[in-house]
Amino acid sequence: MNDKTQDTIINAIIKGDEKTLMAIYEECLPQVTSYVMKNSGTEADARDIFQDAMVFLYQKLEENSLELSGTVGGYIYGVCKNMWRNKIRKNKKMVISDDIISISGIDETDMLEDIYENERTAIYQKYFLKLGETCQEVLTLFFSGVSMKEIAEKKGTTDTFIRRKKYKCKKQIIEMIKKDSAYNEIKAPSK
Amino acid sequence: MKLKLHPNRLYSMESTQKIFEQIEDYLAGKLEGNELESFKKLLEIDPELREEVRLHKELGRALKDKKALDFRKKLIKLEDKIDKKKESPIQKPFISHYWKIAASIAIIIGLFTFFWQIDQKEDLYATYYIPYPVENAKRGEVTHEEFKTIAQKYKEEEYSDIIPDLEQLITHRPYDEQLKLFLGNCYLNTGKTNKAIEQFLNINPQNRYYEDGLWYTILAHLKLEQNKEAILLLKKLIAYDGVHQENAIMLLEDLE
Repeated sequence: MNDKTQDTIINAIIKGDEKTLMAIYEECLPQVTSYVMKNSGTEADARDIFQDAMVFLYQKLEENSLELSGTVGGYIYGVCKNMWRNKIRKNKKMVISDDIISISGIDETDMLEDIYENERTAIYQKYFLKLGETCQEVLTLFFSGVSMKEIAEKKGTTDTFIRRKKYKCKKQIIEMIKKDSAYNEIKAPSK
Repeated sequence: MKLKLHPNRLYSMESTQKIFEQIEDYLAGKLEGNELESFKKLLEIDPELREEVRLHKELGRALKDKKALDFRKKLIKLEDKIDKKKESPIQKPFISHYWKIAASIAIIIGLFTFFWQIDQKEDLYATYYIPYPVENAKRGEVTHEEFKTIAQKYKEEEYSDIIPDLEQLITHRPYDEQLKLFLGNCYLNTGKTNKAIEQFLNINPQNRYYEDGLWYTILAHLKLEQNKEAILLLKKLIAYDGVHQENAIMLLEDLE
């Protein structure tokens, strides 16, 4: 990874280049794991946080809304650290150590608001990916604005079936989300 | 379309299809006139409804971001690869569950005429069938070590692989009624529908998993196109008045 320029790495992340992503995991995940485990977390927690941070980074790069003055690795560490601290603060667990130094060069307070919003999105996306193939397909089409009638026509079935299927799939994911303790911790107050 | 009123609440949060669709219509700006006004009034006074609407709205936003979803799928696939690398230095065939999802969705969306080449009855089965959740095992009696490996493979839909283990486990633990639900679901997903029915019907009527067994028996009959048997059992399940009652009512309406 050291041989590549920052731009090359960023472009590779945006393209989802497997080798680059694998290299990032291999280089950055162990330190994040170490930090999380020193602060009341598990290896699984670290993996979850790392995945969320990677998606967060990807979205920022995709939108071209990230001004990175440090390294990609440093930015990822910063995001992971803030995500984890945010999480354990809600669980009222103490932060024991804080040995990841942010070298991203950005003001992390700006990041926090985005991270907060991203937390719920991450939960929704994770549970969506746990649904069966049919549900994922139906919900993807529905949320991209395709009408029930159009979906039914394309699939050679009836509008009633598709509406029912959509409801059942949505109910399934919502029930999973509501049972997630992390979701309940970050539920925003109703307006 | 009026919202259902509950005697103790101004708005009942039973998650019926009609309620979901009304929320969706509201979010899409499709509610009009009196219906819109009524809904807005309910939103003002019912915090639970506001929360539900917020969840639906955020869910839609999160799942609209297909690129982010695809990226996350890619990461999950990568993590599976990393795990497999750690487990064994020898390269194994890549059989990640999430890879299957990513590949399958790519094919389905690309071709767009795939998948639903089935008749109405199988549509009903496909509409209503969801595998018995492995997460339920945490709340049941089945929490022992032997089951953990089975649970992982069940989650990854490797049903054929775990049938022999489950059959053996049931022999050693015949009082674990929940195991019969898992084995029955494995049979359902591997074309052994009659064997699935045997398992589900073998659950003790006094046991708390009896209702689940009844529900899956009905689905099995549906798969075999045995609608008469399914209808009879649906009426029994509706009268049972348990967690599957709502689904049973909907399915009975579909069948009749």
